[in-house]
Amino acid sequence: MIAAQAGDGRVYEKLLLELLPYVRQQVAFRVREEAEREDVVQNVLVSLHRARHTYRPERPFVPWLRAVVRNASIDWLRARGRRLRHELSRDVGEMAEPSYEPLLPREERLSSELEGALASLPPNQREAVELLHVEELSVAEAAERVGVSPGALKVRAHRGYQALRALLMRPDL
Amino acid sequence: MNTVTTEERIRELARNLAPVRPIPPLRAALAAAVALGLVAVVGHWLLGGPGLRAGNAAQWLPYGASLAGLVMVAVGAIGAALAAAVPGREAAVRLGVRAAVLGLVLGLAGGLWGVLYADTPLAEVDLVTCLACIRRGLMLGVAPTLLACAFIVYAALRNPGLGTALALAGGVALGAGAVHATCPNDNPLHWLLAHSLTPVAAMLVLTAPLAALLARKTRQA
Repeated sequence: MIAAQAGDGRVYEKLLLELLPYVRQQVAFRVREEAEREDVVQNVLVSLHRARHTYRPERPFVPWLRAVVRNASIDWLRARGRRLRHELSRDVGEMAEPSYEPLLPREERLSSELEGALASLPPNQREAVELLHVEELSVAEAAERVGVSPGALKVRAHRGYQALRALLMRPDL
Repeated sequence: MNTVTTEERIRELARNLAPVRPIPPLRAALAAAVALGLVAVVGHWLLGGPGLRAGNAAQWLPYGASLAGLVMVAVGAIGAALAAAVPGREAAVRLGVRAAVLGLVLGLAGGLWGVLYADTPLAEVDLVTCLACIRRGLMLGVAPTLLACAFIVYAALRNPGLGTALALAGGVALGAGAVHATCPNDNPLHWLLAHSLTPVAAMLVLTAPLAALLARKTRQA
């Protein structure tokens, strides 16, 4: 860590790779959703990177590391809670007034475009969008089918919608 | 969902690694904050502020308890504020908070003791004098508070609420302690309202705006 504070990237990369199993173990202890753990692990690593100057060489390393991992995991869980609440309220609004109406004039091209856009999504986002909108399952049913919590499924679906929106609104289409 | 693997993320972090200066040791930062507060007190005295009081000998015990309480709040709360900014120093935070709470209780007990056994009429408490002491306490506490806040910003604390509250309480307690040591007023109710409770009032009123400012500074850094 001292070498990393001095700017030695090679040593730093080695250190982070060595710490990775420990970070994954700690995150697994706090985050139940398996699909989201790797996101949290990356978040923790970024936090560790940002907090690297708060480590004092004369202090033991493990309590510092444990505190950074714990704080970053808690921050992530809080942020996810806020995001889910926000998305839930927004989704209720969208149900009352569908937001995909502006795409209707292009409906002849939409089917193939949509299929192409769907195919380019990450597998778990595509699965969430298809279960909800092709198979028309409820959030609870879709979550049960995938084996994640309803909240996690909604997050995946929401990210899928955002990616689809970005893909379908490209000016070259 | 991140599109890069964790190993790629690590390589990216290592590639963009810049050297950093480790945060100063807590003891050094605490000593600097207290020294800065004392410099402000001496500067204030040199600029015409009141010198050390020659008080009523009969009241030395409640007076001394109030002064010791303020010093304990100052050292404990500033120490806890600094420790709260460093991951893994939770034990130091707890120790500092305990010292500060004990100091507050001691200060309030000293003030109340003086009020109960006062040989000066309590009705003589003058609001204008109280406000002047509170203002002086706040002014003398600015420098140590800012130093603790600078430490918090350097540590890039994401949620600076607790650290800010403790920095305010500690810095202002240091200022209020200096005011208590020099205030010519012999009324224990004045000590209680204008000295011992000033750090608490400052913490309650100023934490939210200062914490918001620190959070913005941290994001900009």
